[in-house]
Amino acid sequence: MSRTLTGPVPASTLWQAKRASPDYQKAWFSAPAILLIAAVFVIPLAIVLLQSLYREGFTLQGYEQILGSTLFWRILRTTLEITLEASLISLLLGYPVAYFISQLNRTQRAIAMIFVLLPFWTSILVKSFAFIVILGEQGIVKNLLRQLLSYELSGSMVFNRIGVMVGMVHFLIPFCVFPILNNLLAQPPELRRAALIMGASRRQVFFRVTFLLSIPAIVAAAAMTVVLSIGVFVTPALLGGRRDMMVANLIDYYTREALDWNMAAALSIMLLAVSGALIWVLSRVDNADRH
Amino acid sequence: MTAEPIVSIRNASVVYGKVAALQDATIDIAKGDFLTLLGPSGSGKTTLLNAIAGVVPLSTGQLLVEGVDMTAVPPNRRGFGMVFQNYALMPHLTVFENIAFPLRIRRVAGEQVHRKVMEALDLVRLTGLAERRPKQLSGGQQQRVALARAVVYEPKVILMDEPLGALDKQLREGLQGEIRHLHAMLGATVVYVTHDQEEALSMSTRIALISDARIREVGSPHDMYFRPRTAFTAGFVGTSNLMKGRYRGDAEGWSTVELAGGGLVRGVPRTDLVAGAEIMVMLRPEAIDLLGPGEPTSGLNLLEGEVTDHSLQGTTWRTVIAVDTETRIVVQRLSRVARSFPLRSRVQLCWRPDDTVILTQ
Repeated sequence: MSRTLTGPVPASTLWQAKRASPDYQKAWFSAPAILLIAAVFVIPLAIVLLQSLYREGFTLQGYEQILGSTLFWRILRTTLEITLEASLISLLLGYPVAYFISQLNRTQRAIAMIFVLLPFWTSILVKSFAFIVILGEQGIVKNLLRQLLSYELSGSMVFNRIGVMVGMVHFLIPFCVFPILNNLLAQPPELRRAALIMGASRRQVFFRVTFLLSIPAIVAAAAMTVVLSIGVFVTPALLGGRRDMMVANLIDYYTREALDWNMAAALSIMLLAVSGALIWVLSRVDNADRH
Repeated sequence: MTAEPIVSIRNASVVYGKVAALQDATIDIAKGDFLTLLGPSGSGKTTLLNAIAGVVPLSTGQLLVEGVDMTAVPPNRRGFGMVFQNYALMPHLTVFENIAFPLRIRRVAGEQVHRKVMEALDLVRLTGLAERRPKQLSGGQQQRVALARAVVYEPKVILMDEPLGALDKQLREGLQGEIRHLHAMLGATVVYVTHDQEEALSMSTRIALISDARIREVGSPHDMYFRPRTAFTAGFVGTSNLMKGRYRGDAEGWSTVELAGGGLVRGVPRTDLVAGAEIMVMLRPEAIDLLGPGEPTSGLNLLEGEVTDHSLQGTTWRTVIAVDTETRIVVQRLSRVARSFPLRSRVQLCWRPDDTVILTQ
């Protein structure tokens, strides 16, 4: 059975901005924003692109070096792994949170939103250091287990993949909760009521109506988490181990330690291409659902 | 009512905080009934419907289905069907799958699902549109899909919450006919909510008039129109002319009323009233005939007045007559046969005693 998702549910708004009507007078209002984006984003990006092709003259050496290096492929694999794992866990944990909040009344919902937004109030650097304290050998988690349950947790919880996941999921969950919550709140309540009166149990109402209607929001949330986690470098650098190096950390290495800006630029362009490809795949999934 | 009620509501109330949305409602719905809950918006009619569906819990009172107490049973185990004002079709499903939804929930076998859905589609004349999405259909077509979905699993009672409210007048009239036809053909039991008194009159076997969270009067459309018991009913159902008066007593099979503006009229007997009671006299606009001054009348009630407005409505002439400084009477007579009266001309209004309905306030 093919399912499409049209209808009153505001779908992923990420790449679906409606084409603006050609009202050129109003277009001037966006001029400051356009200039700013050009100055701080488009132009630097063009410079990075040029830098990736230039080393004492035009060259593809940077790209050749990258594509031929086993280190790069391993790090790219790690990057994709971490990105997909973190996105999946964030979605799995974020969906129930969004669903729970959607069932609350207005006041309760406002309070719950504050809790969801709380992680944004601290910088990712501070949070990462905090997680070292919480998850470390003498950290709160391990000490609590020791003292309350006299249980010695074998293995480390930080400076490995677990640490990276905790840090990233903590950062990503709000980005999953908001699009999904938006979708759930916009679903007409009559649909659920209609299904209920027609004999569907609460479980069936969820799986046959609510969940299916929320798929566009899940895709939007996934796109968000993928974009955000693919370029992450603070979290793996602080909470990860040696094997949790991501492409962004490699760029950092070439920029600050090897001082090989040609390589750093080429890596940046590659990373941009990879995340572009992932977004494209996700948008295909969403569109396939639509038709 | 001779049949055993399929649904009985006993002293049902729904209270939100301090506000009662429904107070002490008691009504029986018989198998095959087309019961319309009629009332102004905010009167509690939708609350009563939702309470029957089970999506609004009763604060006090009882709901019996075929004699079994279902007050605490959740909506999905009541075995009812519902049609909503905004259709509530699943946007992610085709027309076919929308109609099949209740059957799939009931785990009906595949080929039977196909047969039943196709029958239901035939019933609402949408046979060719099975594979469309709801959004590709017009409002009227969407509501017919919703109707098919509500009848396909033969629910005990079909609840309809202003199903035609979102449609324009012409479509509404067409669908009124279809719903009436479905009801008659399937022998279904329908509880229908509307604020449109014409819709209520034309579709129902019974009407429950609701206002201020209470059921005010229950009766057949004919009774509600021709023999309302309260001024509220008379005013809400159809157009009515109301005149204050005092009940004088019954004689010769008729009651006698002295109008506040002067003059005696005869009306339907009301043995339950005491002589001298303050009452209202109600006349439907089409019950009154107009005659020129001095023209002979025969044993009919008679009043005199002056024409203050006279307009052609199509089927009828609508004439407004001032009988005294306070009372204006609206008269509607078939334009094909009735004669026209110029503005400010004196006329006699006459009507039969059995068209004079005596109401308590």
